[in-house]
Formats: sequence, C-alpha cells, structure tokens
Amino acid sequence: MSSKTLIAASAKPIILSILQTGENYGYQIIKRVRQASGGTLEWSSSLLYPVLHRLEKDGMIQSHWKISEKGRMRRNYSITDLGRKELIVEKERWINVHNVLKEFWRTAEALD
Amino acid sequence: MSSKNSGGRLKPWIERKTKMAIFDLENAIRKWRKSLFKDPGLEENYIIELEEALREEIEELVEGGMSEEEAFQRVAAEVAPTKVLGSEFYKVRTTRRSGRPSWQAPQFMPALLWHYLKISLRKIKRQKSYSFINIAGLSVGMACFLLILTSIQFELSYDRFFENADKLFRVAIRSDAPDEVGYSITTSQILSEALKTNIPEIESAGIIQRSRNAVFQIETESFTEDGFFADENFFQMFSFDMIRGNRSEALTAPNSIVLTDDLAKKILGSEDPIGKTIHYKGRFLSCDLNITGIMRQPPKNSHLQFNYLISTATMAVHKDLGEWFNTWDISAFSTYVELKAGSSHKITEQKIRKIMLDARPHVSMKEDAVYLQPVTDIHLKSQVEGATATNNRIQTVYLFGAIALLILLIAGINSVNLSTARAMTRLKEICMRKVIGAGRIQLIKQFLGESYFFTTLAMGMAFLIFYTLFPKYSYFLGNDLTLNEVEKMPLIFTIFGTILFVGALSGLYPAFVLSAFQPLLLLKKYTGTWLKGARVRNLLVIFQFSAVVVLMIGAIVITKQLNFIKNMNLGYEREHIVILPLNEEEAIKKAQVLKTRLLEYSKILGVTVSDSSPLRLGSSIGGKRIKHENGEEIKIDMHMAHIDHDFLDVFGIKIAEGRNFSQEFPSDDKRVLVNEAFVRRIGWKKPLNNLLNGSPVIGVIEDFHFDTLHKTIEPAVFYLGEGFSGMANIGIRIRPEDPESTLAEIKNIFSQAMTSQSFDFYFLDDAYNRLYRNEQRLALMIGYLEGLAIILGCMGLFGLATFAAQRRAKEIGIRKVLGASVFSIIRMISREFVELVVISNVIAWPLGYLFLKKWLQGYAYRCSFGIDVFILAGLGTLLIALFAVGLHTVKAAWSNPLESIRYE
Repeated sequence: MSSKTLIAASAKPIILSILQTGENYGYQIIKRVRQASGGTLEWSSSLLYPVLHRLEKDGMIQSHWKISEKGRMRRNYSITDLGRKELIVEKERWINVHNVLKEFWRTAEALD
Repeated sequence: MSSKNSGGRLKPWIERKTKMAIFDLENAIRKWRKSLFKDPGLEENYIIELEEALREEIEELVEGGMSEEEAFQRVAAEVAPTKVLGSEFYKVRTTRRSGRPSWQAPQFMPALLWHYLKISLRKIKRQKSYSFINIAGLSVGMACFLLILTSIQFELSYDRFFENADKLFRVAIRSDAPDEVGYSITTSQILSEALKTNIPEIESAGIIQRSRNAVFQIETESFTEDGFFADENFFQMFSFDMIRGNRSEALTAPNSIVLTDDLAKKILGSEDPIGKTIHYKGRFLSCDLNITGIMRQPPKNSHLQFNYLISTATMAVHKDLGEWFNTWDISAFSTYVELKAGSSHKITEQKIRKIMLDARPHVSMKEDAVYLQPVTDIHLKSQVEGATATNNRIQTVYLFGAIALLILLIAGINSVNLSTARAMTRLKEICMRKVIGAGRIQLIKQFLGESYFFTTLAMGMAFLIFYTLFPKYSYFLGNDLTLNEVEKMPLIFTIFGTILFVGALSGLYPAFVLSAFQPLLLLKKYTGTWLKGARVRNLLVIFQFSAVVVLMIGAIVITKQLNFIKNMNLGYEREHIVILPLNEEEAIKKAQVLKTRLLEYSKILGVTVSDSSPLRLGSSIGGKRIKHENGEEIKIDMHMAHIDHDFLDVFGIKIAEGRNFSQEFPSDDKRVLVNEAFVRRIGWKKPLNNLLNGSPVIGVIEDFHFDTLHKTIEPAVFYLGEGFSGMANIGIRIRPEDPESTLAEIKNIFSQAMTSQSFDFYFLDDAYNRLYRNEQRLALMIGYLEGLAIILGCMGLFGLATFAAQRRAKEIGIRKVLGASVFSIIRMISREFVELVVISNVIAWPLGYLFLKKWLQGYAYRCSFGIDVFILAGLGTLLIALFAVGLHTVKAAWSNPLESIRYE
C-alpha cells in the first residue's frame, strides 16, 4: 500500500530497529517487516539486500557468514555502535514527522 | 472390477509423477542462478545470499500447501529484473558519482554525437547523388511548404488584428429568392441608429459606404483615390491606429475627412495636414473637406482597404444625398455592429429582423433573412464579391494547404524510400555497431538523428529558397506581402514544426528497419536487404504517384475550363472595345458631348453611354413583383440597366424579338427591353407589349453573360437612360487596326472635353480576363506545384531505380550471358515501377474525378471532360516514370555482363 519512496526512506530505520533486537539474516528481516505491518508492507529481496549492503558499507551494520540448520551458507547481520547512534537520530526524525502529522490531523478532525 | 479400482488409484499417482517429472526445483533454481551470473553487477556472494532467501521462502510456501513450481514462480518473480538488481548492488560498491555501471551506455554521449555527425558528413561526401536527391528534394519540398503555409497564415489572419474582432459583425441580408443562397450587405442608414437604441446586446453600430475613384484636387495636381464614407462610430468599432486627431470626434462633423499617413504624405508632402482643407470630387458629391485626423494605412490583412474616410454627415447635409438618410427605403450603406461580451448573435439576428419588419411591414423576409457575418469570416467566407476588398475563398485556402502537405509528403517519402533501399550499403556499419555493443534504441537514435541532420540542412536551403522566392510568390498571389509584414512567430514555429515533422517522417521508418539487422547477416552474405521494407516502399511510391496523377488531372481540367471560359460565346463582343469609366458629376453631365466628338473620329465605329457594361449591369433589385399574362403576380430578382440607343450595337448584342430603342420613337423613354432569361422567369408566351410597371416591352434581347460564368444568366430589364445621373460608362468600339494611335486620339478628345477628370480606360476583354484572375492564378499555381510534384516523385523513382539496377547487376549479367536481349532486361527492371504507376492511376482516377466534379460545381457553365483526361494523365505519369527509371535501366542493360559477374 505504501508508496515506493516511503518504503525506500523507511528501510534504513526499520532495518536498524530490527537488528537492534539481535543478529538477523535477510529473509528473516523480510518476514519480521511483514508480520509487524500485518502484511501491508511487503519487502522484496531486491529491495532489502542493496540496502543491507549500503548500511554495511557505511559502517552501521556488520555481517558474517554462518552455516544454517539446513547446511546452507547464510549471511547474518548485526548492528554496530554507529548504527545505534544513527537509529537514535532516525527515531527522532520519524517521531517528529509523526507528531506533526498527528497535530494536523487532530486539528482537522476538530474542525470537522 | 479390481482393474477398475487399481486404475482409479493409479490416475492421481500418474498425474503427480508427471508433474514431478515436469518440474524439477533444483534445476529451476540452477537456471535462475545462472541467469543471475550473467549480470555483471552481481557478485557470487550476493547471489548466494539471494538464493538462500529464495530457498527459505519457497520452503515456507510449500509447507503452507503450495506446489514447488508455484512457489518458485512466485518468489522468483519478486526478484526484480536482473539488470536493475545488478545495478542496485553495483551502486552500493562503486565509487562513481553517477552510480551507472561501466557496462551500461550513458544516456548522452557528446563524443558519439560528434562521431555521428562525422559519419553523416562523410556519407554526404561519398554518396553525392543520393545526398543531392535527398537534400535537394527535401529543401524544395519544404521551401514550397513554407511559401504556401505563409500565405495561408496570411489569409487566415484577416481582420483578427482588431481588438474586439470576435465581437464585430456585418449585417447581411439573405436573398429572398427561392433556391438561391446569396447575400446583400447594403442596408438603410437608419438601421444602425435603430439597432443602437433598441437592442441591448449591441454595444455599438456604424455604417460605411464605398467611395471609388474620387479625385482630390490640390492646387493644380489631382489624385484619384479609393476610400469610405464612415460615421462617428467607425473608430470605436475598428481599432485602426490613429496617428493624429481625436478618434471619437474625427468623423462627427460634416465635411470632415481622415487621411491615411500614406495619402497625406502623397498629396500634402511634409506639410502639417491637420486643419487643412482639400477639394473632393466623387461620383455623387463634390465639396471642400476639412482634414480632422491622420491614421496609419490599414494593414494588408484587413477587408477594409481605404486611403481616406469621409464623415457620413457630409452626405447627410448634401441637398441631393440627404434623402438617403432617415429612410428605410434606400439601402445604400453597409452596417457593422459590435456585440456586448457574451451576447448571442443568433438572438440578435432575430431582433434585427423584427426591427426591419416593423419598419417595412409590406416587405416579406424569410425567418433566417438577417445574418450577422463575423468580420473575421468576411475575407474567406463572404459570398458577396468585391464589396469592400477582393475576397478569397476558404476552399482555395484548403486546397493550397492540402497541396502543400502533399508536396511535403512526397519529398519526405523520397527520403524514406532512398534510406531503406540503400540499406545494403549500411549493413556492415550497422552490424559492426551491434557487435561492438550498440543497442537497437541507440541505433534508432543514430538514424533518427541522421534524418534530423539532413532535414535541418535541407531546411537551411529551403529557407534560402523561401527568402529568394517570397517577393515573387506574393506578387504572383496578388497580395504584395513583404517578408517584413509576415508575422515572425508563426513563421518560426512553422520552420521548427516542419523540421520536427519531416525529420520524423523521413527518419522513423528507416530507423526501425535498419536497426533491426542482425550481425549474423554479414556472415551469411545476405542479399535480401533490398527486400527489407519493400512492401512499405511500394505503398509509399503508390501514394506519391497517386498524388502526382490527381494533381495532373486537376491541372489539365482547370486549364480546360479556363480555355472554355476564354473562348465561350458570351452573347456579346468583347474584342476592340474600350471602356471609359466616369467618376464625377461634371464628367457624367458632359458624356453626350464627348460621345458626339468621339464619333467624329474615323477609327471609332460606335460609342455608347450607359450605367452598365456587359460585365456588370447597373444595379439589381430583389423581390420585384411582375404581372404574368394571366394576371398572376410573380416576384423576381432582376438586374436593371440604363442604356442608350447604341448600347446593343456597340457591344454586338442581338435582338431576339421586337426591336431596339430607336431615335424614331421619341416615346421609347417610357418603354423597356428585357432579356430572354426575364421572359423565361415570368413565363410570358408573347413578351412584346406586356407591361412592366406601366412600361410596355418593345423588344427581347438575346441572353448574354453579364456576370461571371459561376452564375447562370439572370433576368434583366433595360431602360433608355437619357438624362439619368448614373450614366457613368462610355463604351467605344474601335477599328482593330492600330489601337495605340486610336487610344491616343481618344485620350486627346477626352482631355479636351473633360477638364475635371483624368483619363482612365480599360479594354473590355482585359476586364473579362481579370474576372477569372483567381482561377488563372489557381491553374498556374497548380501547374507549378504539379511540375514540382512530378520532379520530386521522379527524383525518388530515379534513386530507387539506381539501387534496383545495382541490386540486380549480377542477375542482369547472368541473364545477358544466357542470351537475354537488352529490351527484355529493360522490360524486366521497368516492370516493377510501371506496375506501381499503373496502380497509382487506378487509385487516383476516381479521386481526381470527385475533386474536379466538386470544383466544377462552382461554375454554372462547365467544360466537359471525359476519359481522355484521365488517359492523358495516366500516360503522362507513365512516360515520366519510364524516363526516370529508364536512364539507369538502359545503362544496366547495356553494361558488359563480365563486369558484374567476374567476382562471382
């Protein structure tokens, strides 16, 4: 339902928020997003992986390869200190946006 | 039974097994992985990661009850197209600012642009004849298009410069006669006053009247000029530029005149004209006028063309003309109205009709009799000829527009055909580009760019041709427009629009055909490139030649009709007749004296004084009631002429029944002559001695054409006009020998008898030919354009024949070696082009027939044309096509076969 630009803009804080709770891998992140949004936010691997790599390149997350229970190679990602700091900044930005919108909608409802 | 059971169990098992055999997940994932490896943007570890995610999701979907195949299809489809995916991953790891992978072509490459330009220039240099045909054809076609479009734009711009052009209308009255659509634009003076006071929708209303050939006397010099009488509302409605004087007062007082700056300069030089008095001598009026204003000369695209404006109040105070005012019975003025914004002209028309009916209850008027004609329509859609300025027809404008577009299409098609036909010469280049990595889109861009390069180059030349020919062209059209008077913005838009259109027209199709070549063709020694686009090429040639044939048929029939008009027996003689029009009162009074003196000269065979010439009879009256022999009253429209005893003899008009006016019968001034059309219209069986308004008919004149051949001969009545003030035409029949000296003597006699008027004359046959000037112009124009279309079409055929001969050089060589004759080879090559021309004829003939039938409907008297015209046009195009194709064909047929097959 969400527009492409909004999905792209929200990808970074969402990924950092998920990794804040612990190490995770690509497909699991996609599933967590799907569950949390009740299916309204549907990420694809072509969206997620380039963002993960960008965040890793920027030093906000790090990765290491592991062997999964099924014996396949799997890359796990975890948040770095820089990523945590960035998450605090991002959180503030999104809360600000959220508050502004809430205020406007509240006024609009009152006028109605 | 058991076998049936086992069969029932077996079936789903077989189905399951078959499905499993069809879909192998590992195999599908392997293929999917392989496809990802093709993308240079995806590294191995990225692919492993993507595969892990893919497998997990498939497993989850299969656990949920989905088949492996379905799950795979769904998940694999979610991964974006690999090219996009690869570049997304590439963006993360690259240090390039643009983020564009190095293996992807940039959107814009200046270096490549320069390269394309070099290739195009090289092509022009190496393939001179092709480039010449292409560029010359396009530039001639575009120059012609520019010329025609500029004149069309001028024609369509008439009267749109008035600030309130959309609110200005002229009052026209539809003819009362049944089955006739005609308009009269003369109304009474009182109408405009009544409209202003009684119709709230009308903002302003005013009247004008033509003043032709008036003489201005300045000291010893006299100047003959045309202008209008106009009332004080003129400048309020028409936003002509006033240079000096007060717009609202300049035409209020009697004896006021406003001059155009050109006329003021001409007659008064550098003197300050305001307040000066000049003497005016017109047909009905002679007085001193006070100059109250100077205005700029009306633009050429105005239907109101004049050099001066005299206040109508000048006429109103004149003792003889005053009766024209404040009466509904005299219609001598054109009434113009300006409607208020948002007013409906339809409702206003009804209100005007009501006012007119209330004023003259005895006159019958049809429901739609009053018609408000938009001023912007007057020039092209007015059906009243020569009312204020020479009008044109919207049909002619459409016709020219269609021809201009045809010429442009013919030139564009040449370019398309030549580009696709010579595709072979570019095969290597195209294939090499593709091998090196050029995509189809890139090649399309290149070829389109090339087409635009050629088109722009051709437009440069076209503009030069346009610039050089424009003065001659506008002189030919008779509008004498200069390039400075052409509006610049539409011209610039036309130029760029033409480049865009022609570039796309001639470039798009070849670009798609050429860019579709596969590099493998080079290895296969492919010889079928000629065939690429052959069908479309043939269709285009057929279109071109159909257009050429239609134009040719048009040119032949229009010329035929003009010759028919020229040689038609009009019922009067128009050779060796000089007409002297008299412009002012004093000269008209002395007309009889002049006649007597002229008759003394031996080279003059006859002289007549009348208000008419055979080309235009005095005046016309609508709705005249005439009594039939059985007592029934018939209402007819008729022409009325005032003539003298010699009118019929001088013009060679014959009497069908009865007699001419004669000096022997002094009471003939109370008798009338009528024409045969009049008798037919009334239905008199014995016309002689019937009464017409109390005057008995003494003779019936054989019908003669006193109007253009667009119209049938209308009823006419002839009165003996001795003493009538409108006898302003002197017709002189001269001996055919030595007309120059006769004319000199006439001038001499005229100058002695007439001191007040300058000598002015014309030959009747010249005036007759001038009536058809528009048609002659049209015929000439179509003739020129036809020639141009033929040349362009042939240039294309010539080019195509060149390539056909090249393409079939080996075939011709082998045929010759095997014993084919030169003639059979010529026939073989020419055949495909001849077939196209024949098909074009088949298409063009009915089109040409329909077009000409429509055009000839504009004439009441038409030439007949049969199949011979079509055969002539067909043979003409065929011969021309054969000539264009023949040059190369003959060369190919005569060439030594060894030359072409030695390398085989």
